Amino acid sequence: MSRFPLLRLPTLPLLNCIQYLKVFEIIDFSLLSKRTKALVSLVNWNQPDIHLNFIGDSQICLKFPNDPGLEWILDFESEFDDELNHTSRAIDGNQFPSSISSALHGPKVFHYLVFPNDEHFETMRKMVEHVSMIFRTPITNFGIHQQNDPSTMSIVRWFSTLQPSVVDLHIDYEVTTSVPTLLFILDNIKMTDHFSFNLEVSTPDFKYIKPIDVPTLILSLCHWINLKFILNSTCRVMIMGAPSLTLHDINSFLKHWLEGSNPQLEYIAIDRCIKATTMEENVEEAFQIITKDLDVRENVVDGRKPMQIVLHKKATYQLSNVLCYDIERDDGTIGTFHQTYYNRSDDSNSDEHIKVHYFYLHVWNNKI
Amino acid sequence: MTSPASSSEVKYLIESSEGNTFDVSGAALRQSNTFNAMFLNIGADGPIPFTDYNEATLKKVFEYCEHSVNEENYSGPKHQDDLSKWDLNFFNEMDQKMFIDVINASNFLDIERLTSYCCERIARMLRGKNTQEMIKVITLPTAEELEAKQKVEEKKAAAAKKVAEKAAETAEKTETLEELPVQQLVQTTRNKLTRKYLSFSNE
Repeated sequence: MSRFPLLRLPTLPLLNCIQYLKVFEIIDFSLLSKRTKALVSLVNWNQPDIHLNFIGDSQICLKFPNDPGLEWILDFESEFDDELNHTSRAIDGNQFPSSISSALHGPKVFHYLVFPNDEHFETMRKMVEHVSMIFRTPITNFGIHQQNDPSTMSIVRWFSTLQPSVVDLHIDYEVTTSVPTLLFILDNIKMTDHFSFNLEVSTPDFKYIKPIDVPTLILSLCHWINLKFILNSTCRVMIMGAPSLTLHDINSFLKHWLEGSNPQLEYIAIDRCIKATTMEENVEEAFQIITKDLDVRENVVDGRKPMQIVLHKKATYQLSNVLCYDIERDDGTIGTFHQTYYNRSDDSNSDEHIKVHYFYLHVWNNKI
Repeated sequence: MTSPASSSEVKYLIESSEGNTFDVSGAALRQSNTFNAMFLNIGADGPIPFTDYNEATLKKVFEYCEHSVNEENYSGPKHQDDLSKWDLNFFNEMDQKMFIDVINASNFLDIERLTSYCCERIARMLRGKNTQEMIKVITLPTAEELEAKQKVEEKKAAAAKKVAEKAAETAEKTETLEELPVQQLVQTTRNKLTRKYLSFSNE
């Protein structure tokens, strides 16, 4: 049978045909030529949620709002066995071995299109640009895991040329990152829902006091954060590991909060790290310091306080009622706080083990 | 021309590119959104000219419409596996050229049901295929064809530019007219009107 002159059809039926294809077929069709790429981008798609994961085995995940039980994953495997019977796919004129597979997990179906990964994620980056263009959808969120600083910087630099903002950016705590990388991200990429970041310890002189304009900020190692930064912040949720804060700073923060600072704040959690041999702290003393000159009352469990906090679009956190205390603003807004000490498990056998003082403040309204 | 029968049996005459005419029922024709937009309310005086399409193609398209007259209203695409035996035969007996002609005509006549079934059928050719396999079943334009297409587009752009220039020239003349005294303007305009319109204004 002779080949079908598909591209000679009028545009509307052609777009109609494309709509009948499945996601990987659409991507394959769009890779055929510039014309097919342009045609696919003309289809009125239900815009997918595009998520990127930069790791040894990197992924581009697509989820369509009209098909929530399906996930389409372009998988870039670092240990890709190209001796297996793979089919070849052309990306920008270069041929890549690839394979398709599917897996069922509970009610969800995952479809995989697997390619070999390369050292600098070049193939993946090309595919990200391609997929984002054909579905006319920006990347919703991306995560970077197990990378060194130059690699992280290279990824965020590339990303900033692709789009100016992203809903979620998660840089895993295992990723070592430098001050220039952090500053580059803050100057060039706006996070509209959530930003998680870890800065390597060898930057003791670095301080950052400008507010980071993001609803949820999770900083796993943030010695560069001080009280001024927290008071300047416009975040709804802040979770901070090892900031430069003393118990007196927490007391100051609570006083400022009672006077109306941080009006958007719903939840702040602080993990202060203390070397157990150099400084003795205990819960009672800490309580005296952080509640100094404050009107504090024990929290009464009456079912009115929400027991869950929405950290960001993809995560919620269950709160406990154990040993909680309340402070109240003049407008009736209540701040329930809790504090405790624990030993960091990985250092507990060491002579100079690290003790962590954990404090959180949960803001809610009695009138709701 | 419509046959004077009961409204459900109204017949319309369709004219093909060969100049041939044939009957199609109103019920079948109403599946065409193009027909509905153009003729449904105002009626057709004489054969309806669908002269971009040959008789065989139009007969095939309206054969489908006649068959689906009694089917429920179209509510979205049907999977090819759910098609009736009649539908499958209808598609299977067409060669590629006829199939393409039917898609083109169905697209022009805006017959949603037929167009979608055709498109789903084409999509099935690409199902489960990667880029290399897709190239084996569809024709991609060659470099020469793309070049020829670009030349046609350049010609079209040049023609459009000429038309735009002419329109600008006319607009300039009109502006000059508007500057004339009212009496002179009326006279100039009258001279340009056809006798028919002049007689209309005298009435």
